[in-house]
Amino acid sequence: MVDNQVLSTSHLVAIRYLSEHDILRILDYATLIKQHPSNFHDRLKGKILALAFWEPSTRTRLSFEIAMLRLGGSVTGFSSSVGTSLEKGESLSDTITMLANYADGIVIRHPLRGSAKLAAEIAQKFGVPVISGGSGSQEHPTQALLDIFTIREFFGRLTGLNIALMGDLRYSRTISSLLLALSKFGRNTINLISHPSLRLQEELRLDLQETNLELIETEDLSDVISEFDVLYVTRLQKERFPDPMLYQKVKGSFQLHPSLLKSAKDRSLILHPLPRVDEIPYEIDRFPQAKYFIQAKNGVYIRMAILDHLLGDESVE
Amino acid sequence: MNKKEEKTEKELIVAKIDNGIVIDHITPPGRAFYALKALNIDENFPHSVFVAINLPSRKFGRKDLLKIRNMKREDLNIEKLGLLISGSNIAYIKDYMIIEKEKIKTPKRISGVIKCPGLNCITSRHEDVDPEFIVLNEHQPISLRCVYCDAIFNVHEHISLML
Ligand SMILES: [Zn+2]
Repeated sequence: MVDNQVLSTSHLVAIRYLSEHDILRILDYATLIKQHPSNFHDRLKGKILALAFWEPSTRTRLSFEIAMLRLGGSVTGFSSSVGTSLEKGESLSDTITMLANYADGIVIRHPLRGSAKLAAEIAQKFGVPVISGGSGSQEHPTQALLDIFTIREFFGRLTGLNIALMGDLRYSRTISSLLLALSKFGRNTINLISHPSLRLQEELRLDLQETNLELIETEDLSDVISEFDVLYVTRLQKERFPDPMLYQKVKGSFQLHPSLLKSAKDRSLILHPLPRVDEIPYEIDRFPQAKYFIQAKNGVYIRMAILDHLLGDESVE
Repeated sequence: MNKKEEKTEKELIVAKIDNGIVIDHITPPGRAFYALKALNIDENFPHSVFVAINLPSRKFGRKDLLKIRNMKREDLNIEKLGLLISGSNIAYIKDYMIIEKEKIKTPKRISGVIKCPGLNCITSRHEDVDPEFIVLNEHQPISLRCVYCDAIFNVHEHISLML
């Protein structure tokens, strides 16, 4: 028997609100699911998950859908605001109130910060759990959990690692959640590789100040290429640059070149939240360190663990 | 400042009020303007208001003082005042007598008194939510953190967002 009702919260809106203990319980439960997925095939039989996606998404939405189906539940919802009442200006508050009346759980992705927290407060009145699938540039908690799941699976630990983060560190909710997640564990060295205009948000920097993370800033991947245990690459978005010329000029500096990777440690990981554009060329996929597709697959186990925790009954055989 | 000048400044202080409130020891000087804004006192306010800025004070060097006729405890949002003039004292006056005194404290958490300046914050849209903040420091100038979008900002730089 494994007790699965041990989270200190009945929603998952941000890594910020999770304890180290919460995170470890989710990772352990996901490990168990990954070992014997068939044991969990009817955990959420008869339950319905509503996917409320105000922003387009392929990976996160599919991953939640598959996780719910693998647990024996069903899925409904909407994706992006085209063709829904959201286009007519229906508020998040009203939409969530309606969904909380219909479904057993809600996954929300929304372009504004604070959206997942507000959704959780509203759905709480109906006893319906809310899971964030991304709230603006703020957080993407399930992504961070699958990231650290992959790191722990490979290294067997979440401390004493040299982790390099490259690309858009400012507007990437994935980066914010990953750093907040890592900050709950022991000492790690974090190399931040970005263009000066895409450095960490000030607020996040403040949050990380009192933690065990050692933050080191650089603009050049070659500074850390032979040292990293994990290289986490994110996509640069053209619209984040004040001037498209600047984007064209700097994007090459944050691409991974096969020649550069020859100096990387054999036992290291290259991760990416996907989708990628050209920051990781296809040649890199053949390197043994490239693990982004395994990382994406782990997303299903992590989301199964979270859905089971929040929507499921108390214990599992 | 010589004795004579000090005496002249003292004489400037207006007479006692019959009914209302007196907010004293407002520091640093100039903060009384923020307090007026927080109290929604503008050209439409129907009662007499005495505003004294930059008065000599033995304890603080300089301070501000407000006397507002016919304002009562229930007309005040003490938490809102606590964001701007914490440490000041309020005296409630009835028939020229002080009936109650209170020190304005900085709140720990605050909701519904100021809007979030975060451009991408869900509370800035037409939604069923009151802006809510954690107060980060006890002493002026006070910074707030939005519990929704995590933005951190300084209250008196965003006085126009007061509700
Ligand atoms: Zn906010």
